[in-house]
Amino acid sequence: MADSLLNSMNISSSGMSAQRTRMDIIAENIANAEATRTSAGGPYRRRQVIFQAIPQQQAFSNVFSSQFSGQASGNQLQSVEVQKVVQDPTPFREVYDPSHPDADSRGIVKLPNVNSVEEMVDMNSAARSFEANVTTMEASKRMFLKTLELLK
Amino acid sequence: MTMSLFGTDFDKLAATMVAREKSQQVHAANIANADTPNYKADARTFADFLAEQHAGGQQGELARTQPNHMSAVFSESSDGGVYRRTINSQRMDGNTVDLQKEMAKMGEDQLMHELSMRLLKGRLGGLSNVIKEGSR
Repeated sequence: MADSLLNSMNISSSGMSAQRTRMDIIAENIANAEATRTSAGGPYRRRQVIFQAIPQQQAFSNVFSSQFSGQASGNQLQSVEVQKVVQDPTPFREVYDPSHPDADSRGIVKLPNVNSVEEMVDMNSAARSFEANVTTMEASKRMFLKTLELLK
Repeated sequence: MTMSLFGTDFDKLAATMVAREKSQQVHAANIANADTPNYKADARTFADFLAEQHAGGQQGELARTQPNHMSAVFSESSDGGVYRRTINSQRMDGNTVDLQKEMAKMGEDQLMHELSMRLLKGRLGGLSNVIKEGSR
């Protein structure tokens, strides 16, 4: 039955890596909050991650027995993954600054559509979610270790 | 038939721990998906998994004097039990995970798992005492 605890640790680790990817993207957004030039041309566009629940990979024996008995296992546990990273389509910030090298003929500069307050909130949320996953994994680990101590 | 050396309590404790571990799995899945849009929280609890363990076996029947008593029959069944998901969402992204609740339940599961473990350990200790003393 150690299988189920290993399974929950795998699920927690999927959550941790998803949150870490989110954190990477937030860092990128904050770092590029003032970037007016990109390789694609134009200012930097804010990016965000999309999470998707995916059925947790089952142990061979489980899959085999469910195939063998002809029962579709409907009660699958879901782990999480980053499905894709998308660009935020909201318009760029426009600031009047004629001295800026990227200002247009009216003296307006287009800055990235990154709102640093929004990013900070998102960052905190990602950090907390990451911690929640770590706590879960610690709980699973503790249960596992207690099981190992049983025959001491 | 179970060995009378261990008794039916032994099986019961084992089933309890299996159910606690399965319920831990559900908490892990819900917490990992706490930020996934439209994810519906898995609402299966320890009681569901214990009932699932009950349903799987044929041995060690206890007397049931009340209709709401649980039958004490245990085995390692596969995941064939109930499957529920919370539908009511309090959030704008359609996610139904209550992180605080999950954490609290997880803590409870962890403690109760440890309790079962200690009881089981006590039983094993008793047995090993019997074995050691007999060999003198």
